[in-house]
Amino acid sequence: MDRTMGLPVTRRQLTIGFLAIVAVVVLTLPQLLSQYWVMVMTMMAVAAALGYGFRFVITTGRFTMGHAAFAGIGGYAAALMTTKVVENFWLGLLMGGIVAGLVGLAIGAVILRVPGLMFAIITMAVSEIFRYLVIMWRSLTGGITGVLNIPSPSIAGFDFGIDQVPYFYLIFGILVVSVLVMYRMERSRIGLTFHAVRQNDPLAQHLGINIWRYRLLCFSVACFFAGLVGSFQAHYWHYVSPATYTVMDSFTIFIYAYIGGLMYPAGPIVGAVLMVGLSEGLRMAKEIAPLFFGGALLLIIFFLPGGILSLPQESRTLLRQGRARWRRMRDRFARAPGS
Amino acid sequence: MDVALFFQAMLNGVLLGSLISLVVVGLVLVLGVARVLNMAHGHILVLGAFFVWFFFVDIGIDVLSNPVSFVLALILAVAIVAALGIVLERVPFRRFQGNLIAGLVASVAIMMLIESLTMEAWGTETKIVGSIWAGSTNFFGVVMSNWRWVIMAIGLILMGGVALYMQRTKMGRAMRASASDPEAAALQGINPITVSRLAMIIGFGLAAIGGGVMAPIYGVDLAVAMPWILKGILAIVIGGPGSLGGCMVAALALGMTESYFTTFVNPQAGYIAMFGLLIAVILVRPWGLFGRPIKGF
Repeated sequence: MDRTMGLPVTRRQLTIGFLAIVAVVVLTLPQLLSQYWVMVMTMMAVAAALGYGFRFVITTGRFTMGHAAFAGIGGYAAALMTTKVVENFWLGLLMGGIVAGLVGLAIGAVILRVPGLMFAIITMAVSEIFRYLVIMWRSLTGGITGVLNIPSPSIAGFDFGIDQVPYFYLIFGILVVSVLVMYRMERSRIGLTFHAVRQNDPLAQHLGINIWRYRLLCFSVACFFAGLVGSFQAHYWHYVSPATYTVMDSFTIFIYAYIGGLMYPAGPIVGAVLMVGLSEGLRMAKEIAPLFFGGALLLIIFFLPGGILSLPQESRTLLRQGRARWRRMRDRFARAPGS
Repeated sequence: MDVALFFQAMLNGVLLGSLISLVVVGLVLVLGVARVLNMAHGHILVLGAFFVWFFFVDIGIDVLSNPVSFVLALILAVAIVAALGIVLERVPFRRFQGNLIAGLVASVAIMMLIESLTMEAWGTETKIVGSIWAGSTNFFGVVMSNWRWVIMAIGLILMGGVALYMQRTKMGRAMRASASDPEAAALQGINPITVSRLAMIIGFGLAAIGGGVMAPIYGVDLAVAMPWILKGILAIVIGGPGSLGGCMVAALALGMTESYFTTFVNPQAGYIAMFGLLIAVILVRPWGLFGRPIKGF
């Protein structure tokens, strides 16, 4: 479909132009907004990056309930690296990603052979095991208080300090890189295989696809990027603690992604921006926030199962149905006796 | 090792295990018959405890003697929670039967709604339900407070009752048939809607009883909802989602494990051991130690 409403450009060029405009807007906004809103944008970017990884696992038909724990593994790896071994931000960041990716690879190799329901449950168990291990291993991880006093990153002599803006640029860079890598993968031959594995795994297996290997690839890549985000979080908050990587946090990630629309690559990003923006914009109390999330989620699964991004398509179908009903009614009245 | 301490820990384990089994029976029934992994089940349990607190302490139906009015409050709480079960079966769960992701999302949404509404209605601080039956009983050197003996008895009796109900009555057999193959069961004239409604009533009612009877010991607090659902899921996976009896055995075993680790090692190590056991079981037998595969996942 290369028709773009009669414009003399291809759809691809239009998309790239649109993304460029979005990028320019996003990059200039922090200069104009207050520190608080830059912090909100940082939270949005974190949620979007984690949600994108979660959706990436979904493309192979596996549902993970422990994505926040992999961010936590990355965060702890980075924190221990910078506080105990060598104080270098890039090394810590890379370390977080690699450790989370390797843990994902090792765990995934074992647990990706079981049915989908059991996989979801095991990821939850892994997430809990991680949390209890961290609490128990007090000498290394500081127990329930976590690792404190993580130095703020300094890149090429530039110290980040307490200003929010450079942090936002940093996480935006991580978001762009992870989305680009995962999107290119999804659109390549490998990604087509992912979708085949999701839609019909016995058939994919009969076609000679090693479904376990493809799922493992997908899962460990997603874990790698979750680790990157986790180590960013560690540097951003200057501490890591087990309280921020619970099963509930994984649920939050998948709620954002689900509200945006799991079948659309842009879904998790839209969902994260929308939900974080709304919950911060309305300055909700602690008691109201779950009501808002739960209500929004129920509305979405009932009326827009494809997420917010399916709204244009769904509304078109609804309109068509409504128009057809109106036409039927008109015809019935036209044919009615005596008229 | 001290022998008395050993038996004490064992009894505590049975107590914990019978409470876990009250949660897990509901989870198994809802997963098997209504075909949704209900992540809100821990919150349902706490909701039952909240209603018991509400009727017993807040309103104070102290018309009769203390234990009788507690039983009255418990019955009211169970009725309300079971009614909620019927509503939830109709509105979100029936629509997402057998759809793992959508069902999970729906139950997480319900979990958040319950959390938020209870916090709005009754505040965030832990509610205290006074003791129902003070004093303790010494049984061959093992000392437990009377109320704990009662909880243990209630838990074990209910477990036995549910097992008998599932084995011996027509509706119980219908539920088992529907759990093992919904289409074939429907072809035999088993109404899937009736069966899943019944499963929700039993499951939610048992969770409410569990929450209500442990309220006098542990108090009422939303923070315990997540640990309970995790323990329930542990038991379900180790026992096997296709086998109710297996899940009960697994629940007792988990209670013992937790109790022994808490007494002799430390609680975190106990949790790690339990989750490690879960992973080992799934890898060796993906559908649980006692279970057969259930269709639709």
